[in-house]
Amino acid sequence: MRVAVSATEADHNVAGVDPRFGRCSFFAIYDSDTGEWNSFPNPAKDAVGGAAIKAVEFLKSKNVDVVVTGNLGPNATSSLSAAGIRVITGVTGKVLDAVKMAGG
Amino acid sequence: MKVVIGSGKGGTGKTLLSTSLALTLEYVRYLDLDVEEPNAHIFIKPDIRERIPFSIPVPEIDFNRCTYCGECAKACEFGAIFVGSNTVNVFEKLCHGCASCKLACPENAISERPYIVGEISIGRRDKIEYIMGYLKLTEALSTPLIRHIKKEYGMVSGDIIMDAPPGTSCPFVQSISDTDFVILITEPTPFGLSDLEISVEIVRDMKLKAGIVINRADLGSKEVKEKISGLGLPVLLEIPFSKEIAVGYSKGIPLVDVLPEYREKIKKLWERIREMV
Repeated sequence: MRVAVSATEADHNVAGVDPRFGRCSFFAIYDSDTGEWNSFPNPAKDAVGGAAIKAVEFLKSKNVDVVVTGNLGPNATSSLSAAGIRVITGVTGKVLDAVKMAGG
Repeated sequence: MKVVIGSGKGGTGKTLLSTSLALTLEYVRYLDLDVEEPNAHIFIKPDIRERIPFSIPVPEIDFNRCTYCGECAKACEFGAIFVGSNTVNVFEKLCHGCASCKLACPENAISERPYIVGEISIGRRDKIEYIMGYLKLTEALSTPLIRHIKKEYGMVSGDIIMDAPPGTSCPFVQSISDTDFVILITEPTPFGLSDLEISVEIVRDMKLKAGIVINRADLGSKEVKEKISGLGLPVLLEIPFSKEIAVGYSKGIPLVDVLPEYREKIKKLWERIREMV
């Protein structure tokens, strides 16, 4: 299972959960099968419009199964649902702890 | 002659000046292009005889043909389509109606349906022909509506006055394109100056003729005023910061009715523009 957390910093060991989804700074992606971490700058961060949709597009390309974040807007919710990606929202604190909520 | 009144910063007097221009010149067509909050009708008081809905074409997916290949989403410059594993989401509010998705679809699964984003009102007050664009609440894209109004109603001969939306982005650029003259109205404050400088740069890039009108001219510092005159465009008129004008404006009374001596000044302004064009 691949879990993506919206993150405030590149280093997942110190990063907090970014409360924004579409315009978060980084996506920390954890693969629970291999235990591997990867961090990517969010390509949609400075999008003029439709940031959340572009962010979901990106996560889909990374074969993400679950998104853990603070808050999701309507465009993000419908795109994640269309992509078949599950969501856990209302999460605050450290990225390392957030991943555990997804069963990682 | 097609003249557009723009400003950059909002609330500097676009509508104040443009409505008084129309009411002074009389034989004109007036286009309210400030479609997010058109308000010239408050001063011109036209009789509206027709309201026409305005729509843009948005994609409609034929799910019997769609293979979810994602080519449409890739082709969309505006991120208005999201292709999921067994569904496609179209975000109408992001769509510019360009039909790139339709052209990109290898399965011919995309057709277009109209999506209403606003309304055009057509009316008259004496000899002023009045046309107003109105963008529906929650819609974000004013440019297609502005483009349509200019194309449908702004191509006639004779004098046309256009009230541009505030700002210096696409709606402003769309409003001033293909006009004979741009009046940039500003106030001598740092905010007014900052947006004026950007507007001047755009007008120069687009190789348009332009001049400046300073509203609330006795406000702000001398330094700002010097910078305004240093921009290399003629200052065509100065309107003072007057309680009388503001009180009239708040009641829907145009400048030229509050201070009738402005009729003469505005006529001269128009003659000067005609000489420059």
